[in-house]
Parts: sequence; structure tokens; C-alpha cells
Amino acid sequence: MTEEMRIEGMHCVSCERRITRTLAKEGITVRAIDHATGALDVDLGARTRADLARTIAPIGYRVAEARRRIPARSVETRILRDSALALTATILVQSALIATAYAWSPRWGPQYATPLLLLPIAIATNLTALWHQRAYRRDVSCMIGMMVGMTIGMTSGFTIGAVAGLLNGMFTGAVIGLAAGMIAGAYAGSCCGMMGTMEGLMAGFMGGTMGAMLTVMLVADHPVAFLAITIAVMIGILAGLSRIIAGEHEGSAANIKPWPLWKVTAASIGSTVLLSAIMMLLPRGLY
Amino acid sequence: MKTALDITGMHCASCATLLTDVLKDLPGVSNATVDFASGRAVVEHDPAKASPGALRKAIEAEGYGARA
Repeated sequence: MTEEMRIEGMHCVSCERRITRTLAKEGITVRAIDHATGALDVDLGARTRADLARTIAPIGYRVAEARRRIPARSVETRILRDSALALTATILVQSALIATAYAWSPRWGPQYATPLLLLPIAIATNLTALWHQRAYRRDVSCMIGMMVGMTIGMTSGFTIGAVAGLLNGMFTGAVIGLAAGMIAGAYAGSCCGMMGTMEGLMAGFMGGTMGAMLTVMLVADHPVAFLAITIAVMIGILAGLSRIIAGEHEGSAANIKPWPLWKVTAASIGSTVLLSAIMMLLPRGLY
Repeated sequence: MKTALDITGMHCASCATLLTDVLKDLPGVSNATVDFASGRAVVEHDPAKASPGALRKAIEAEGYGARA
């Protein structure tokens, strides 16, 4: 009877050889073994899975428990808490930036201040999804990697493009949006090589241009209100994405490595202020 | 009889354990110790059943080099 399982504790090819030799003495034939992933494919012969586990235990290896649903609740909580802290810090910095700009010129009144205040929420949410995926990086499949690249490229491109469209008009907004979306998408998708990177690039391009187009077309209506709705929907989608990433995770919590809080905060404040400064320095847009 | 061999190509302690297992499984070998750090194997064997050449061959079959 053939069976597949995962073995914990292998470091190198010698470990594979040791397990193969030890099992052979017990009449179990190893069909395939890989120390990098821990995958073991065996023909158990007359033996059972428990016999196999008993045979390799004394030489220092063990059979991983059957697929554990992610459990790393503490890691999840930490990612969300750090994200909330980073977002709060970013909103404070952004408020100070907007207040300074308003004191300098009344041009930076509420019609620009509101979208500029929505910007950190959009950026921080996308970054949360991004570092969530980075934390699980080694354990997510290509399928999820591509989905993450596509979603993050699209959502960050769309929201940043929408804000830039309001501030700088359709042309500049579309350029800023597609650049930001393509960078974010490519970075998010890069975990599974060229395929995910391309998917992220393309989605970022599409999202960025669409975001700018949308606010410009809505300008006589309620573009800022629509932007807020978009961000709310986006938060829901990215939260769902995070659940998918966590749900696929199979290893132990020790394999999940979230960024430290300072890095999260620096990325959030840095990208928000940089993008805001670019938008505020470029020629003004719609109002 | 005791034979000491210098082993090349070991990467980690598992390699040493693997070679210890391999050597002990040879007919005519009563004891074997392989040290990863020094790259040295000491084998107690009956030369009539397991010649030094056979020891080397067994080590080479696992992908390592051996010199007396």
C-alpha cells in the first residue's frame, strides 16, 4: 500500500538516505523522499503508518500530523495589531502633513484633505495584506501567490490612482496609480516567480488607470464618497485574502515570520508620505 | 583489527550517522565510529570478512571519499 506523508526533522540528503535505509530494513520501500519539503512517498508493504513512525522515531525524525488547520492565532493577532498601530501612526503623521500644507496655502482645504486622509487607510490595508503574505511566504502555493499579486496590484493601484486622479487629474492620476499598483502587485506576486510578478504588474496597471478614470468621471457627483466605499469593499476583500493565505498554511507557527513593528510602521508612513508629497507637488487637479 | 579512514564529502552530522550505520551493517564489522568534525572513521572489523578495500567501497557507494 503506498502512502504519502510529511516528515519533520530532515536537514540534508544524508537524512533522506538514513530514513530510506532504516525503513528498508523494516520492509518499507521509499518511492520518493525530499528533505527540503519533508515529502515522503512510501510503499508500506505489510507495515502500517504507525510502524513507520516507530521506526524513524529513534533516529530522530517524526511524521508530521495530518494537515493542521492554521492555528497560529497569536501570529494573526500580532499582524493585525501591528497593522492597526502602523495605521494609527500613519494617520497622525498624515494629519500633521495636511495641517501644515493648509497653514501654508488655503488651497489644501477639505476637498483635498479628505482624500489625502483616506490614502493612508488604503495604503495600510494593502500593506497589511502584503506583509501577511510575506510572513507566510515559504508556505503558500503559487496559486495563492498569483491571487495575492493580482488582488494587491489591483486594489492598491485602484485606490492610489483614485486619490491621485482627484488631486492631479486623469493623466497624472493614471500614471501615479499604475506605477504604484504595478510596484505593489509585482512585489506581492514575486513570491512565485515570473508568473506572479507578471500577474501583479498587469493588475496594478489595470487598477491604477481605472481608479484615476473613475474619480475623474465622478467628479461632478460624489467622488470622495465613492472612494470611501471602494476602500471599505477593498478592506473586506483583503481580509478574505488573508484568511485564504492563513488557511492554506500547513507548517508550524515557527515558520511564520511577520515583519517587526518598526518595519511595518516605517513602510506605512514612508509610502503614504512619499505618495502624498508627489501628489501635492504635482500640478493641481479637479477642484 | 582497527582501521582508520579519512572521509571526504561530509556536510553535517547526519552524514556521519549515515556512514556509521552503513559501516556497522557490513558483515564482519563489529564497531564503527565516524566523527563529522575531524572527518575520521575508526572501524573495528575482521579483515577476513571485511577488507579495508570493502570498507572504502561501501563508503564510496554512499557518495563520499575515503582514504586510509
